[in-house]
Amino acid sequence: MGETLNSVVIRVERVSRFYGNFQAVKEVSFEIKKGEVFGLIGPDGAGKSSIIQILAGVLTPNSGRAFINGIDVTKEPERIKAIIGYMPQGLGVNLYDNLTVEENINFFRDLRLIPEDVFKKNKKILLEITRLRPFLNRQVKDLSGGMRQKLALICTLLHLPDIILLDEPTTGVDPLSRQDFWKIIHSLVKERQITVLLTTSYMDEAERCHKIALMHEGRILLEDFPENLPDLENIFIERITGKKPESFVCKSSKNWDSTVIVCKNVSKVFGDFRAVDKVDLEVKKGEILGLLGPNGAGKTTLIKMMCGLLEPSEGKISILEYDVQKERTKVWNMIGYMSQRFSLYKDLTVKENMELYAGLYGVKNFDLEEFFQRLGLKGLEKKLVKDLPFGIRQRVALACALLHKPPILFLDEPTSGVDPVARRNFWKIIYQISREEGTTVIVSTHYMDEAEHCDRLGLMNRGKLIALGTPEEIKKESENISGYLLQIKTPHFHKAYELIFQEFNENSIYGNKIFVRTFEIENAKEKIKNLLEAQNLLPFEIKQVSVSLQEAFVDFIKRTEGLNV
Amino acid sequence: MFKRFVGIVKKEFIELLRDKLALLLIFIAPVLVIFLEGYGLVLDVKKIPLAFLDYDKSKLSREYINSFVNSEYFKLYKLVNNYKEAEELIKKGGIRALIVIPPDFSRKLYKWQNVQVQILVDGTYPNRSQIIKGYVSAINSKFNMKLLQNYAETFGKEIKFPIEIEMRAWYNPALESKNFIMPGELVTILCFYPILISCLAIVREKELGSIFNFYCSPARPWEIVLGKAIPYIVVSFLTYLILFFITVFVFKTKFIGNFIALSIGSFLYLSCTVGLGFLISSFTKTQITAMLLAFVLAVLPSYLYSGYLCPISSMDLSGQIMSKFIPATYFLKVVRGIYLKGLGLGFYINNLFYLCLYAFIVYTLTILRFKKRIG
Repeated sequence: MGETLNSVVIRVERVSRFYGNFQAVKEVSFEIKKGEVFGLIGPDGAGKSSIIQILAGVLTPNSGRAFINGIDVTKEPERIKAIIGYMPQGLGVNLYDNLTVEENINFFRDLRLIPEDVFKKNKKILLEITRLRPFLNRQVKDLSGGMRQKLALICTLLHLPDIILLDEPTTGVDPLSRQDFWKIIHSLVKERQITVLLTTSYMDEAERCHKIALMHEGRILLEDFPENLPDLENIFIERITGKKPESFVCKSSKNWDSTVIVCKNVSKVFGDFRAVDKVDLEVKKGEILGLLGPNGAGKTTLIKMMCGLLEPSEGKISILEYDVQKERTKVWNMIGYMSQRFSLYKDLTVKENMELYAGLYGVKNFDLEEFFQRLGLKGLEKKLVKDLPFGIRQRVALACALLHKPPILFLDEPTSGVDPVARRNFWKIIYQISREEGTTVIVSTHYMDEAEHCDRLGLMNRGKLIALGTPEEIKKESENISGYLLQIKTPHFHKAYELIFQEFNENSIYGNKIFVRTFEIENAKEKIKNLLEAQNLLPFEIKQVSVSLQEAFVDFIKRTEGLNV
Repeated sequence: MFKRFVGIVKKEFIELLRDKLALLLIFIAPVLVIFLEGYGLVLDVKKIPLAFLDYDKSKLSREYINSFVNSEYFKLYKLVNNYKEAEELIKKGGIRALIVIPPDFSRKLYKWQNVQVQILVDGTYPNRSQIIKGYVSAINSKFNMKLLQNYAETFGKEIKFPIEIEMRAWYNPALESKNFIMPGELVTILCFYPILISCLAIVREKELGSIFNFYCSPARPWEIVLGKAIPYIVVSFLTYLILFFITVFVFKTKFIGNFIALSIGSFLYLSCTVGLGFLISSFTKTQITAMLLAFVLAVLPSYLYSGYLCPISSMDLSGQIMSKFIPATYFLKVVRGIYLKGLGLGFYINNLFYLCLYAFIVYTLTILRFKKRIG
């Protein structure tokens, strides 16, 4: 790294922020150097957004100071606004739905008074890299979530800001768009030495950053380089609970033979939009089936159809030989369903909620004590649901879905935004009911790492089930599509990337690691070694690593959509 | 310099013209309302259904009944036989008044004695019963006069009543209520719908999150507020043109004033109402509160205190003070003056000035309130 890269551009000093009596940010301090990609990682409610908003000059902290390029943003926010780009949390929320892609881009040109030559050049590059050019005349409301997010990024980057602040830019975004997204970030860092501060709740995105800070309940738990933190989630849990987390994954070696759910050629059409597109799926008794996909992929719609809450436009679904449409009442006795935003009554206590659901399902003589014990809710019976943390609320919701002891359980994004400790506890329960009681579990998620916990996985994208199999099978298949994965580590990764970029077109940067996909592993190793040695980029390390689910997912998307990117 | 301002105006225009709900509120709803109220809200009381309980059943009592029925104000609903029947009719709303003619009606009259006729009026709408009372006593005096004349004639004399009233209503000679209502409609509708859409302009972006584009850019509050307001004013002005056309050419409301002057007044007035919506939008956090506040703070007072339904001079002090804070008050004076009286600029220039001042104040407040911060 050169001299200029060591200058500090963002400095946060003992910043605190209260919302009423609740302290969202607790005396947080950190520094970011020029050209760094800095990740604030943590669950919902950790205080990440507040910090970003304070730095963007739109939120005043109760105490502490924050500097950008030496300017105190808490005092003179207007002075930094020309040099920053800020993208708020949500899928493209800074866009105008009724405007076309081009009209949105033009509006940002006017708003930021971008000179015409800069605008033209930048617009061209950004449209190219995001592959949004064919959609210039499409209204934003007709774009997919990933496309929206990419357009939002274009609009944030259009005025060539030196510092960009991104609030959960990749949450719920499809893997291909996410990959594009990181490509843009890293190419900008490389070319213009911009500084990036971003937040994410995905632990597995840490390794894409140069440096990360782990946040929990308004505090920074630790700040380090990702290469020193091989398993971030475990470290997070250790920091919070104070003990080393034991492995909770218990893969079943059983062979499942009897089928409990059959979906045959199932589609759901809303207007001209195919939310679910010709899905064929069989679920075996006792397995944990994960449905992995971005927001809008059709996971929720598919689950609702399997539960008989939505009628399929085409196809047939049967559960234990019963037709879900025709014999709904029979089916409803056999399934438990926990919806995405579970409707617990917030003004009732935990116990009252449970009793209400017991009444609704007609469950008599149930042992509440045993339930509370098993789900770790003991001592919380008399608490109002609204006073519980989000993670525990989800567990209460799960308890309600389990009351009538259903043999099949549907969980729709049960752990979205939940912190890793609570998430792990939640998964322990899922394993317990699956392995000990033989309950079949269908769970949807957009966390890649969580998907690894499932027995079998279905990858969903734009309504289609694009892959189905165990996580290992899916990774193997991915290697057949795009080749094996080589990881190259070197301190001179920018220069190394330039070299490798010319030789291998299937490449990506993860923080300061470079990944290359190739079918001829030994040849490629040799080639890269020669390249790096010729330029004296030492030391370096080249090794084959297993494909991540994120990468595999991208491969399957490319294959189904016939893309060559 | 103005490039950013123009950019904001342009974006807001496109958004507004693609927003189906906004278009509905700008073009369809006002037209629908002016037709509904134009045909429905006629305050003239005519053809009121009456019932008679005639205990006399004489030639004279029939004549008395006819004097009511033959007027354009009343129509005979039924001749009833007893009070009970009449009461049922009043309860059901079949009749608005009952006239009871006593059994000795004609006998007493022939003897030149005093007779009392009972009128029972449905008093649920005090306004209407007042009008009925007025009509009934007018018709009754006319009948009295006729009796007197007949009586005099039997003596071969002619009676002349010395004082006769000849009333002429200026500006609205036929006293048609549409000439009074339609200009008022123009004022209230141009308050209601522009505020209803403009009060969402800023708060919607707050709810969706796109407000951060403004917060995090070097854009200045005046550029944002005025840039967003102009499309709303322009589009509402189109509503004004449509409504004006309907009042004059469809409802044939009397219009003898200057169209240009009225349009200038409308433009100022719409700037005020849109500005008021923006002010509400600037301090609310959700669209639903903005709408409710707009309704309670701006729309209702405009109906009640602007002088649309009852004259400001007949309000108590608090009502008169209230009326000063409503742009509709000033515009209503301009509108009525132009429509019916055809007054020249000198008569309402001060009201136009107040509208200018009002607009200046609401936009200044909105710009000052527009902090590029959250929380």
